[in-house]
Amino acid sequence: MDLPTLLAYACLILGAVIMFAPVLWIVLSSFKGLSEIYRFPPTFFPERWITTNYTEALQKFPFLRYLVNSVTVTVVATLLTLTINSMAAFALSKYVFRGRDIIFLIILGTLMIPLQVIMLPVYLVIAKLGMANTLWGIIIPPSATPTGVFLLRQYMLTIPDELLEAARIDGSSEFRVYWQVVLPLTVPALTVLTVFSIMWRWNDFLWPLIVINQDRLFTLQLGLARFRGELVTDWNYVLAMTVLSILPITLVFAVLQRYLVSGIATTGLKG
Amino acid sequence: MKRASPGQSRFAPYLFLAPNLAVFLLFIIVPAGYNFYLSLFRTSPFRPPEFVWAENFSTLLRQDDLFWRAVRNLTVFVIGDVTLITVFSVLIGVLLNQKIRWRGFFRSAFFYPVLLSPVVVALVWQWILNSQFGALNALLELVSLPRQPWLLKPNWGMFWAIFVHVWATLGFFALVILAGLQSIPATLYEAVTIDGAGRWGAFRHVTLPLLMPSLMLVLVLSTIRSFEIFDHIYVLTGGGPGTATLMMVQFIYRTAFQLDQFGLAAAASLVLFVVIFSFTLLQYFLGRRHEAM
Repeated sequence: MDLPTLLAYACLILGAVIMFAPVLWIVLSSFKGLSEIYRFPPTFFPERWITTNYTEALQKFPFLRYLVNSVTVTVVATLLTLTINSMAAFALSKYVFRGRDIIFLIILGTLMIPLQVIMLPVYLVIAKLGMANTLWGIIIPPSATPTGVFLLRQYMLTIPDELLEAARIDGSSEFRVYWQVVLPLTVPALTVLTVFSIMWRWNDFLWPLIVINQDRLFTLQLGLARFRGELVTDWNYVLAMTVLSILPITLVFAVLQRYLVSGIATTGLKG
Repeated sequence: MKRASPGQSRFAPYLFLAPNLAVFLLFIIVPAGYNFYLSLFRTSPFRPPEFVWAENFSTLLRQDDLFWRAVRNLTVFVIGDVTLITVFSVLIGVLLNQKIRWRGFFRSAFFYPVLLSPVVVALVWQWILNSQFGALNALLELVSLPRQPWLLKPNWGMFWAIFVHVWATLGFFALVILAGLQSIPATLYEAVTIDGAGRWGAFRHVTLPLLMPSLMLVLVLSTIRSFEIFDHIYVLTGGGPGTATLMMVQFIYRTAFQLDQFGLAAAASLVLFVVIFSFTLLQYFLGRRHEAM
């Protein structure tokens, strides 16, 4: 092995360590007793492995409620996103109609307006609609994503029109053409959008922070964020709950990492 | 060929578009206009809103120290963040493109933090950077260096804000660069080697020029994302110590939702929008140019 290759390995190994070590560290820390956690200098492996951080955290904090809220928001929002975005993409890819180009431009325009810039007026709008401090208030506004529409439209353009014509000749309604012909053929793109949507919604913080101010409606991210700040005293519980939060995605990552990474690399470029 | 068939399918496209358009209109287009409208009023909890033309803008730009604090902080953050991300994503992209074993593993390793939520990322690093029990201070003690109150010092706070964000998003951009590198035909490298170019020559004359589109994409996209930063920093430092890491989005959040100064917040939002919009336009045109090429 020549020097450049050796250096390459060294850099990559160092990089991988830096990427994995922090999470590994909190996992190890989460199994330590309170006195061991606060010991300085800290031990690497727990001297005694305990699980009370987890059991007590679940009792002391409404972790499960936060989890249920997050799951609810993520699932409903993803279903909503898939439905309305695929319908819009279908219209834009398979029909010629008056105003199509203008509408396309409008959607392109919304791509250029990030939430951070309109968060105040959007909140005022949902407050007027009575959706403030509700899970629907979190779910609905971000559910129409221009990225999703473009992604699906791009894919649907490759579906041969003859298939639609054949279905129409057989007497299908337009909705059935959408539902039974186009949608099943769009599954690959729908899968990508599903993965994105789940990730965005699960990890979302700013918008739920603005909408919700009642503890019982907190999502997981809001619940965890209660513990920010240098003066946290319940680190043993915070560590346990943080590890629980990343368990699902870590498992998915471990099993599917190759597909996840190549799938996102080839299709996804969203902030 | 697509055609609008008569009868039922004349209204169909509009019906299919309706729900999506309704959400876009109600929750993006209307609020965007509302933002303009709000910025023209001075709001107060004691009086009804007063129409004050551009006074909010002049207040922001001339009197509001916190606004300028946020502008300075954000500038430092964006420059640091984008520079580090660009440099390291190219470095890692190039490394991952070499013929080495376990490429898939390394690729995934860098991508793992991208999947974590900003809140989790911030909490993980908060634990490591804790002045009293943190692992980083433990490592320093190991080599007989003094412990540091990392997140309690303004300059270090900014440094770690940048570092943590880079840590959490680098993998994504490294993949973009890697994809760009892999689209460079191997024949070009062969041709250049035949002409006598060494490794560095190949990099300068083949890699760098053909990597330009991906590089531009990384630059612009990371810049846009940097300007929008909020989640990581809010949880990691809360904008502190003091206001040392207060960025524009947090300034808007604070002004709108904690101080109820809607007019000022809307004005600041518009300023931020103009900045982000310029880069978004840039990204759009760069993308179009690349497609045309």
